[in-house]
Amino acid sequence: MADRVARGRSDLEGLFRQHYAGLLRLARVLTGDDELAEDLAQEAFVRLNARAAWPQPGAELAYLRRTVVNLSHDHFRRRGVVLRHSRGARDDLGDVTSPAALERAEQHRVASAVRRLPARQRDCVVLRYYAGCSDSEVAALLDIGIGSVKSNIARARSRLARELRDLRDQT
Amino acid sequence: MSLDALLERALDAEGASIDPAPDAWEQLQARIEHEAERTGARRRPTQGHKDATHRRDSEASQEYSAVPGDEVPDPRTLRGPSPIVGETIPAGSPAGRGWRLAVAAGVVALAGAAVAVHYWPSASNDDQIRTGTPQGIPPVATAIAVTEDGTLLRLHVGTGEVETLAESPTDADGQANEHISGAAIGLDGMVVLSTCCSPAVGSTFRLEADRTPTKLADGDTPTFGVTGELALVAYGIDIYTVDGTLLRSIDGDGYSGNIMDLAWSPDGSLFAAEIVTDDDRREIALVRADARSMAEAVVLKPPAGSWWSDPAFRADGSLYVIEHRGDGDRRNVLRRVVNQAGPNDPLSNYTSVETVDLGEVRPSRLAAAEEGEWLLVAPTGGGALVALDPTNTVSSSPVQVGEPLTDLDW
Repeated sequence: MADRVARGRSDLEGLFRQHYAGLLRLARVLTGDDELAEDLAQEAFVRLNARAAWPQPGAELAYLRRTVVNLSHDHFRRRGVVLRHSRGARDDLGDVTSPAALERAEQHRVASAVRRLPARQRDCVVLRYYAGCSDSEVAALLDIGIGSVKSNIARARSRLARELRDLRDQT
Repeated sequence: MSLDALLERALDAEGASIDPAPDAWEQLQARIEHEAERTGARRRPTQGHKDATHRRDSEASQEYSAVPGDEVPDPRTLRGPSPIVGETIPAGSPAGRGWRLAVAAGVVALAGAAVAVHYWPSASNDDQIRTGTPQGIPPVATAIAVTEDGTLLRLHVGTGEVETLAESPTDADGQANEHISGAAIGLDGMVVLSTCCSPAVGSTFRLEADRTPTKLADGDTPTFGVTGELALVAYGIDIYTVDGTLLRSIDGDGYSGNIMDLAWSPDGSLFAAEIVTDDDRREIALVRADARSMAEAVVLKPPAGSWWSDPAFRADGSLYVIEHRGDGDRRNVLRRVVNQAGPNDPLSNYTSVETVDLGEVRPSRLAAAEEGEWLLVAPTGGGALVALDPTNTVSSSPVQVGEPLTDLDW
């Protein structure tokens, strides 16, 4: 029993060292909130640790990503963080006269627009454009069909293209 | 710059704006140890749990005595390994397990586009569904659904026709900050929709005959009762007349902001509320409809590692929920929970008597028809809506789900 616990702890630490930073950043992109991102990324590992049977070797990252995505939904749904964080992002930009600050402001605006997408569209866009997942990987992660992934991304792109038209015209 | 490049650059920058804390691993270890302590002892209750615990502790312990089969854990032991080992009834996949030719009809995606003609397969020798005569098309003609992008649809369950009743309002910038997230059908066919819910509670509107919305009250997650009253979730549960006059309230008391879905029992005596706990798990709270506070609720716990959503009552008073097992929605089943104590004691001794495995149909949304005779199930990841008759025999609808739903009612 002690060996099993020790081995589990060792495996968990290995996975943590390997994947935590990426999951933290994924959660940050999904939520736009540092503290919440830390909470979600840590919770994903807590849930992995609590599982009686871990995912197959090599499937741990998919499990952890899926957990972060699912946890982000709960926070978005009722607690009304979408508006607060999207507004907060605009409030925190500081001096926007320098080129670097201007670029940062534009990136915030794009990220905020992504976070205002309906949940499934947001998931698909973030997993595709941030996490670099293929359509089939996104489909497996979200447990939806590849066709649904494609339609969600198409609809999200259409909406984002309208909303961000001025940014695209500038660059 | 292309939109793709814009997205990649912006999201990369957003992700790069945070680095792990130097002591992140130590924080995780502490969190895991804390978790272990909590699961080893009684769970730290919320206010609502605390009050319910206190009340239960003062009552006779045999109310939670074990019964044969699986059982809902004692709400006083709110976490940890669950004794539930449900009887699984594989109702089978739609392709080979007993779906009868219900109707050949146009399959209409929820997006509204006609896609194909679909024929339901006949039964095969591999049938493993429980006994009962298939009923064909469910007897309820229409249902309503809300898609995740905030569109309210009327579904003609028998024909597959899908109508768009309302879309989420947008502001001048095209933003839909108040999404349609819930809807319900009243006894006279009246449709209400709710928007949810930034920054606080949502609002509920009656959809007029010309499909314009008229605001009824603050609150979301609408649910009609057997007498036509309307229950809304705000900081607790508020009960209104159909014209929006507040009749009474059940104070949230520890559950404010945490009630995600609501079902009203067919006899009007009980609410089942899907609640999200402080640690983001989903459970079911049962409270009398005439209660004054959610502190009077009893919490039904899902088995360890799973969570419950979408409560729906059957006519016999049994409660069905979707049991989400593990990752994503890959292994969702229906769970039937029965009050062994009978109607005179509706809050005690709930026992989970069985699960209903729908095979390839992984349920994502569940709703009971009026009177609770039939259940309607929306599948995860696309596919046909299915219905369960009073014996849980799977029936079919030509309505296809093409995207995730946030609500379903009929």
